[in-house]
Amino acid sequence: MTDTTMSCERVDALLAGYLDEEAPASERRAVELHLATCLRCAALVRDLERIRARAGALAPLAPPRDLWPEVGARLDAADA
Amino acid sequence: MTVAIADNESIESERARADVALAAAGDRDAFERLYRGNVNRVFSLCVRMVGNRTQAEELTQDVFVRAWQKLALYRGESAFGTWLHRLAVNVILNQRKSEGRDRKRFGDEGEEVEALPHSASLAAPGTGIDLEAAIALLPPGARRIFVLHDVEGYKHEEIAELLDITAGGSKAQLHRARMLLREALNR
Repeated sequence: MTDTTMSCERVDALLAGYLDEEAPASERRAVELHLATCLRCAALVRDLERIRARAGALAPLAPPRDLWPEVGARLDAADA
Repeated sequence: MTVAIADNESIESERARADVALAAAGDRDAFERLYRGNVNRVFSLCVRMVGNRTQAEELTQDVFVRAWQKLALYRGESAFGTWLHRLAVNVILNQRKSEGRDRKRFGDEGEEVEALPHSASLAAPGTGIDLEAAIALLPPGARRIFVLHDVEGYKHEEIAELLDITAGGSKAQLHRARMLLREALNR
């Protein structure tokens, strides 16, 4: 049975599973029904989805200096 | 062009395979090419996992020294980059374990914070902080799980095994990390 009167607190508790698409279909539908009418929870979900998307798209970072000379010296020491 | 990209990728992976074979036989120049092709990815993982650039530089070196020592064990079942990434995760986590042997258990680490600290150096007031800076401010346990799951694409079951915690604990920490980041990014 679909819970159309889900509270914000209940949505908070289910959000992790909802965002990572691990929630059962009936639970997803109940959360989505709630999101359609609750601006607070809809904004929360939008923000968390944005954070997850941005995290997955972060560009690689280069070290601030060339570390190869130190790596090479350590390989010399290890091989000696 | 998809075909041209595929061709370039295949040439790159052929080169990497040849360099792995040469490096495993002791060719330092080949290993340097592997280093140059992978160092940014390894450094990114290190800096995001530990939240400290100086420590990340040390760890990056540790990863490549370890890779050199272990190269003979690489069987080519996965791409070299994938093997190196797994090795890097293990080096980072082992470093944390040896540093924190007398601390709390791994997954429980990190104080119960309500919000991430403000950092004047990150951004001017009202402009918010960027995601990289906010990740660095997360409590260590939540930061590691956020990076492994949301940045690197690991599953909760894999994270649980790596960190010796439960999958439920990983999920809870991930949610906590995202909520802390949201609060910090919306300031």
